[in-house]
Amino acid sequence: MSKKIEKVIVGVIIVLSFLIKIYGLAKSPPSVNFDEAALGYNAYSILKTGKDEYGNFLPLSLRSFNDYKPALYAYLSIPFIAVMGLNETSTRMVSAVAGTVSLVFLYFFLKELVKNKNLRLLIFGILAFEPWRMHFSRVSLEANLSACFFVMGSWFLYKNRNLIKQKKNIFKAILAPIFFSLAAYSYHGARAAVPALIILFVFDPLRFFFVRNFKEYKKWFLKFKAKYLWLLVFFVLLIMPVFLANKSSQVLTRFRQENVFYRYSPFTPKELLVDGKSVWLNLTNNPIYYFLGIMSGHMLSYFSPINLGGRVYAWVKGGVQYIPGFSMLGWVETIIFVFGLVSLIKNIKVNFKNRYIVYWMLASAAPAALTWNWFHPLRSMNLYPAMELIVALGMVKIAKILDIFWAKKKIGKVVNFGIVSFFILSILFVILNEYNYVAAITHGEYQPGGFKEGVRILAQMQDKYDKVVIDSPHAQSYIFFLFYQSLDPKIVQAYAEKRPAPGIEGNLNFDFYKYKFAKYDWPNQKNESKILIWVSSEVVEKEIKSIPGANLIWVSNAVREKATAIISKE
Amino acid sequence: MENIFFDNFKSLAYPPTEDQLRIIGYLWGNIWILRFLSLALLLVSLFFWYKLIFKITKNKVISLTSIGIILTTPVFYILWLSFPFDCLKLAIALGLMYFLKNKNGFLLFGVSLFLVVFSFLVTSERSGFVHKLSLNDAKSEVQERFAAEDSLIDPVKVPLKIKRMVYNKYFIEYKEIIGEIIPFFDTESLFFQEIHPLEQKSVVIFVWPEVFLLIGGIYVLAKDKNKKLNSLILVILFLSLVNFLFDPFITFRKFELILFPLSLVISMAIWQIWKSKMIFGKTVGGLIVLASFYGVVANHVDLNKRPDFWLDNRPYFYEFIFSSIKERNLNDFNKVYVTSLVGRSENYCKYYLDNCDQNKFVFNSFELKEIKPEKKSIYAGFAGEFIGSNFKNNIDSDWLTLIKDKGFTSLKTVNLRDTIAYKFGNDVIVGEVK
Repeated sequence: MSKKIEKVIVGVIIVLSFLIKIYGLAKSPPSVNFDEAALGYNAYSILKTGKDEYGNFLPLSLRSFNDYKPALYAYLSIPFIAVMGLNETSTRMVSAVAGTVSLVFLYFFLKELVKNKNLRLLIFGILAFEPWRMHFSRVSLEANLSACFFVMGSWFLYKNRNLIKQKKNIFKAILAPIFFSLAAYSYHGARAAVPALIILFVFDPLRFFFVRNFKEYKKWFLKFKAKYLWLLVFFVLLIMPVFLANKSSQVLTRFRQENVFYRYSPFTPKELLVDGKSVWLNLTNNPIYYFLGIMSGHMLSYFSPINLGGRVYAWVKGGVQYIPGFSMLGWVETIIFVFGLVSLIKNIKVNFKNRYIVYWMLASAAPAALTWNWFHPLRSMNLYPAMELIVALGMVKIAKILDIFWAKKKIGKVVNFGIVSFFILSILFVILNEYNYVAAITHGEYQPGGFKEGVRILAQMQDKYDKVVIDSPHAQSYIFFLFYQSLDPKIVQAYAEKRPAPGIEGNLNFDFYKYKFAKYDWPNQKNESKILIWVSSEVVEKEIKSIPGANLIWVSNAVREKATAIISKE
Repeated sequence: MENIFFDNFKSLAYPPTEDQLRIIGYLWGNIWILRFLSLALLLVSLFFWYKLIFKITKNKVISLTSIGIILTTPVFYILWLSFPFDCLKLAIALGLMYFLKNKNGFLLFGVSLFLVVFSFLVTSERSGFVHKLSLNDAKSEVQERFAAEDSLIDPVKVPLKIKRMVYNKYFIEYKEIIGEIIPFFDTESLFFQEIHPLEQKSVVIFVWPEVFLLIGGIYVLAKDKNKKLNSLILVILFLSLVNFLFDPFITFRKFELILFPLSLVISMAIWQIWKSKMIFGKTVGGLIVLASFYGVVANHVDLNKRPDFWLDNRPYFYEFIFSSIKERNLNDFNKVYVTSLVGRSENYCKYYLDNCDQNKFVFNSFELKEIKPEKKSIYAGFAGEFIGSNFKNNIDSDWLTLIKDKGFTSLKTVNLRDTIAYKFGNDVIVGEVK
């Protein structure tokens, strides 16, 4: 196969993957979730006024739900919102594009690992439609954008690994820290993962296992690697503005809430601690043993095949990271991953690329492992391209076994046909699953029903009324009223001072414009005039219709259930 | 003396399991005879394992280390303590492996067949994998998928023909089957049971530092290129998968056969660390071996301090109710009601009591919320059976008073750590009405 044909096939796979990612983007997931709405509306606000919803001029972090989201996703969404308006599709486009661009770099890595062109293309075709790629590219996720930049940075770091040996200018590697910093501007996790990867890349600690003494290692390190530390310095300089622009305590808000040390202390199960002794002096069940176990477990959970291929933890279910029917990888790919791991370990000494994949995985999993959750896919998105490379290694290994069949032409053709057909069906399943099944199963808390359909109705009615009362069980539902009617950002910014202060969690709804967040209280509200009421709780239709001038509109959610009632009183 | 012993080794006082009850009658009702027989069977399996790997590795240290790892794992301890059929299965399987060692085809087929047949003979329960073979689950999932997607008001349009290509019982069957295979690669249950995120009921198989030794062992095996050893490990891993798929019991029992190949891989790593000349590798490896040793001790201490955390609570439940009943003079009562919410109580009755008169004993769940208890009767069951069950297992905290109000006296109660009868609470009561 010529290089030209290979490029065409790669191009077709990438374009096809992009088209599949954006097909039906407005319908599936059925509506935006809280964070998507926040990213979209802040992008819209910046587009219209140069300021976020709080009136901060061109911020590097979006205060949003007092969680200080990295702002790059919102900035990159601006062109799409400018052209398509503020809606689900324009808000999700950045993620779809990021998921597609990262494929290009995945292919670059595959070229390093798989020498057989046909096999490489087959592997690329399969990996381009992994469940995690399909799922996270159809939702606005800073983590997905960050993963894209992380892969790009990782590629440029890997590609320039031998500049000193090749007697080339070491500054040729400059693209690596630039893309890495973009990853850090996109998602918190990269701020820890990038330094970790650069440090592991420079020190190559696994190499240390295979040298006889420290002197030998030191000589090699100083000659070939030490100079690469400038990448780390440059990266830190590039991301310094994030920390300078916000109080560092604000940027670290999430980590304080989620860290592993606080949650698990004193690490040893309490019943095993001997009374009257210092916790750390327990001889038989020392906390150090359990602490190291928890840390190792957290780290290795990201490489556990069952977590990648099927098990869904309670904290994953019900969230945006939940992919019903799957975990992160396809089912067969999960098993192939095991073969890949063996192949990876086997050549860890001789191949730097194998060690680099390990460093990539460790660096990507480390920030997530420091949080209390055992396995949290969203916090470890930088990891999955590396996982895919391991799947690729496994496929190469299996292909070697299948060589026996390929040696015989007729049987080889049948086997090839079987394998390709099987993977086409699997890909088809992933796509169909993502389009409608995932939408139907996850329409609830994270795709709250009623807002998409109801806010547009409300927006058409509200001019004729003096007050709009909102009774919503969601702590941040205000954002949907901004998003779905593209409310003038200047109106929202005017209320910045009155909103819950930074550090406050929980209910962040605030009164703005005609909107007042209050409990549904029909016995009193029925006496008011020119009032619109948005109720998510139960409403007795008879009671409403018995009052003159009162009317009721039911709004369904994505699965035809009554989600909200809009009550109007003239 | 006996009490002091059992206070420090609480797990040894673990009551008989249902598996043991099936055999114990033939052994004069003595659980310790059965336990020694089980231990003997496991030692036989270890003997075959040692012979098998020594023949291939020609290395005593590796072979003995592998044996040592298996001997000290909490699973090994629990198997002889409570599960005689598993010990028998391992002894026969390892014996077959030893005698068929030179014929990989026979070994694969013969031992697989044995494991499948044994799983069918030993219990009427069937594993999830066996259930999936019927296609019923696949059919249900197809229907569920179509129903879920049809519920969407505004779905993404996809031609029905394309949907049918994958939303059919055969493709979904493949999904279901592979869904049963993937849990075989559950490193949490194999290596992180001590700190398992789900705190699921199981027993420590390997301690967590051993996962790093496993990685090292894989490296050593891949480098050594000892084809015979590698193929033996692969074959036994496959047999472990067969056992995993067909064994209908709890996770650690499904994994019992994998102890053997993984202990061998780990012992390869330990051997490599021992003879390594790389200072850093040797130091780090040595520390991991020490941590593993510490982990084994820590886990045995844990197992003996709180066996009710690690082990099935049903045997504790039965021991409590029947010993409480035994303390009373049964001639004073017309009926003895014993709950059957957690299994076949009559089997345990025969073990703990000499006489389980069918006219007197009623083995069934009871519901006393709305009705009065019979006079001259003993009732043994969960709090929810006395005062009414609760959907979320939240039984009224004042249950003791409520039960007394019903006329019960001489109440004996115990609170179980585990919920073994959901909706009925964790408190077990034996009470009488005069």
